[in-house]
Amino acid sequence: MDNVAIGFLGLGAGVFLLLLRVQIGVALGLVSFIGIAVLLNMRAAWGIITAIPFNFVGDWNLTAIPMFLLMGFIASEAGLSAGVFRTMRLALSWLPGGLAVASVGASAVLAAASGSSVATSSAFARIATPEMLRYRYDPGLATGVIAAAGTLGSLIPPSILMVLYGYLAEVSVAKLFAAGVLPGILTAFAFTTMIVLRVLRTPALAPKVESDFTRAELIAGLRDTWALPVIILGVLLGIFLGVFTPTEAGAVGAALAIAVAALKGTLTRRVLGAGFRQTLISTASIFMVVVGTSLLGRFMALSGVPTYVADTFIEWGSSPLMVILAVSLLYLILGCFLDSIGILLLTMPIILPMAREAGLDLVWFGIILVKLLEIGLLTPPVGLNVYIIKGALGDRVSLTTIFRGVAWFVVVDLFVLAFLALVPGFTLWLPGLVD
Amino acid sequence: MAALVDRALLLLARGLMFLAGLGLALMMIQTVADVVADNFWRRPIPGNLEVISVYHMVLVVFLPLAYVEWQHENIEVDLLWRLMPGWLQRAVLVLGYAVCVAFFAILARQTWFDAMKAMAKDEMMMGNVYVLIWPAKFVLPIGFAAICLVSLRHAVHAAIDPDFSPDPADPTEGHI
Amino acid sequence: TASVWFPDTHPLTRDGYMELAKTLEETSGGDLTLKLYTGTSLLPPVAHLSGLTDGIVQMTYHAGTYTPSDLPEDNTLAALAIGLPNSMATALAVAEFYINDPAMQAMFERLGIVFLGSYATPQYVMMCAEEVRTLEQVAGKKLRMPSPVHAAWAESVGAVPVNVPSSEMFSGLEKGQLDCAINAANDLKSRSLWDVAKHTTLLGFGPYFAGWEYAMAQDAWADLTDAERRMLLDAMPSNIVHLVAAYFATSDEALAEADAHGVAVTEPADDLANSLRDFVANEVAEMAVATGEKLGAEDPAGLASRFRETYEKWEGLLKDVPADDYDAIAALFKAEVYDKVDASAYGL
Ligand code: NA
Ligand code: NA
Repeated sequence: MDNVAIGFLGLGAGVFLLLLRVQIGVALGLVSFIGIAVLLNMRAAWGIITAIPFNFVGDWNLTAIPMFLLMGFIASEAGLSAGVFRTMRLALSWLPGGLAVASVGASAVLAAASGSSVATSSAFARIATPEMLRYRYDPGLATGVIAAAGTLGSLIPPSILMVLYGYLAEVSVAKLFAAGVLPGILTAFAFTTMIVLRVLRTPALAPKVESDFTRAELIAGLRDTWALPVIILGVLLGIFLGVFTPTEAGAVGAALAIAVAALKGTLTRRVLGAGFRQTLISTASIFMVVVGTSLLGRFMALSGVPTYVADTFIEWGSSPLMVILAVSLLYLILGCFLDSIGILLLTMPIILPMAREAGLDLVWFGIILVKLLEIGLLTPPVGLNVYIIKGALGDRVSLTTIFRGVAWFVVVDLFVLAFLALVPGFTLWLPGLVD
Repeated sequence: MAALVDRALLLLARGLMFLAGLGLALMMIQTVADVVADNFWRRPIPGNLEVISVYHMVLVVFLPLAYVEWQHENIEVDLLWRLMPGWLQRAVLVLGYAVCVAFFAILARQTWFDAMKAMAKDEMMMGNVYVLIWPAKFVLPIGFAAICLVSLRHAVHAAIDPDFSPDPADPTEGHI
Repeated sequence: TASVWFPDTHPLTRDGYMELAKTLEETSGGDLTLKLYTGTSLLPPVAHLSGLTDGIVQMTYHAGTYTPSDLPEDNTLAALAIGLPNSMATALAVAEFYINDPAMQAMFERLGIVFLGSYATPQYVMMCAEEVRTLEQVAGKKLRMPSPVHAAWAESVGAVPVNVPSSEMFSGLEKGQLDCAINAANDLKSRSLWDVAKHTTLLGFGPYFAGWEYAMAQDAWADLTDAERRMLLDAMPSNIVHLVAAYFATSDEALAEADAHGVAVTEPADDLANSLRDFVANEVAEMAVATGEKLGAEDPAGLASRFRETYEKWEGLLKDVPADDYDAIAALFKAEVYDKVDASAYGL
């Protein structure tokens, strides 16, 4: 049996273990260990185990991941995002579907302080959705908007996915962050437009909310809202003025979030404990996948599978559009079953050489990948953001209803994606200015 | 007996979580301190970057593993599993945990040897200064051995306890 | 199989490994082939030594300073680099010394690997955001230094040595977290430093040569036939000279194009140059010995002085050859070093 065949067999075995509910890192890691032993010998297999976990994890660039996670979790645990939703609501409730639009806006703001989509969705699942249901919003809309707007968390910087992608593709994380801003804002606008148009056509989707608030109320609301913008502005200005690097920004942001929560008086031991606990759990789970997939990457490199796939692909023609189409299809399919970190790390060894071969701009390509991964958070059967809403609401809304509500947003996302794919200049304009 | 083992394992998992939390706090504090020292006195702390990326990162990544497994919060795909009949579900669970035990045992063994070798040669890393790194290497076998034990515990319970549930306390934790 | 973690476009990969693979294929008529892994697809940079000893690959490039505790002797000599103004002579001296010195051979024997070929980078220079030509200008500047010895010089002139990962070098210079990067000048182009570092000062900080360009695992080396080992050894001298030359060329090219990117390339003022010269004369030998002792090398003082002799010998030999006649240098290198290696005994 030749090496490529062993490689594919190993991949198959890995998928089999995955389907048997073995955690991603273990399934891929174990298959790679055995695969390398078969391809080379036992000594080499043990050698890879020595070479990977320590050297891969002990890297300065990756310290941004736990730090940005901590910043986001502290911000949401300390309730710093509640005020933002209240203000957005006061300012936007005159619009058709005002509460839903306010949810999109508030999610976009929290996204700028959080590196993760899941954290962004879960923050508003408990605040905004119950409000919308109380005003008899269509349950599909009330839940779908939170699940969908949560995906801004990974598109608007900071973003854990971008840190990982930048590290693997050797692309500047600062540029990726800059490149995510406009697509993030565009997505928010597209969601808003879709909501407004739908509600104009079918007003029953979102009954009008009493909006006779006073100026005093708005000011009081704003006073309650300063926390998150202060953190976001502090981090962005710091990076922009060169006070600290994007890698250090996570730590500064986390410290700022703790300080602001303390000033607001919402920093309790429970908040700190929960923030730390969630950060550690997420970091450890993410890096278990990182270790497993990077072992897989070595196994794949030795087996020659990536070259084989890339060669086959080139035979059918490797125009940039083809690569984007193929990758989109692959990600949309994988997005139905796997979580985003898993997909990204699993596919990088194969699609990165393809993207390079096709001469794609890797910053732009990264944003497209993040967008695709975000859509995967919304598609059934495994749509993490949907589960988050479901988890927060319990039996009040069925999964089917949420998936149906989300479908509208997925359609909008696909249009945004097509636009980003066809007009790279839109994404690359801001990082170009940074240079 | 089983209860005693459970208590000991949970204590171990929580203890390691606590140390990881210390690493996380230090990572934040030292990074901020470096930013402050750099901006106010134009003098970053020598060796800080190495200590953060080698020591704290390793604590934060590998020590929580056992607790994560205890809570069943590692990232996995349970789509097909949910469709299986009950008896098959249990069999698959036991098999799955056995696979985890094997893999973590492999990792623990090899990283232990690596750490011993590093200690024997007083392993250092070169930046602007030399930083001793071998103690950080012992964190890996500790973390892997602990998750190996927890997986073993789950394997046994999945086999003998009909009420054993592999569902995470909070299914959304651990994802981004 | 071989692994080098630099990308395909880097001289150590393109003019080193890729050329070697071609040469071997031609001279052996296709019997001896080199399957090459570039970048970090197979091994992280730090693991290019353990990858060799663990049998993952048979040949690697390795930056010796990444694993100081494994290579105390190599790191002792690497500490001398700041005082070696001739990069070509350094590369050739390293090969001769590593192949023939008993202490170096003991080091390779201990690790279970066989040294085959050396390299050296062009002289490191200062690429700065602001002009740094004088002692006064360097004071208080934040310099990214390649080694503790370089850092000690920075301290001695009142500058601040900082550690910035190479991935953050560009933004560091741009945003002022860093004033100068000390590195080979090809980074002006390959990392686009010329967009942010508008002042390059040609203060020669020595080359970087630690580790090896080519080393093989002992068992893989022993598995080759005498003829194949000979073929590899014969391929070395020309390959090494030309890869060092190509490295020079990328650096010179970057410097030549720097002007068009608004970079001022200048010589250092006398006081700055003198400070470095005095530092090299007074401190470096001692620091190298201290490094060796810290890492556990035996008799680092003897090691360092023997290496200096070899280096001076090559500096002398190269005086008689035109600096750009690389074929002549390669011929001399072959006659002086590789022809004297016994393919049926070396490393076995
Ligand atoms: Na974000
Ligand atoms: Na999905």
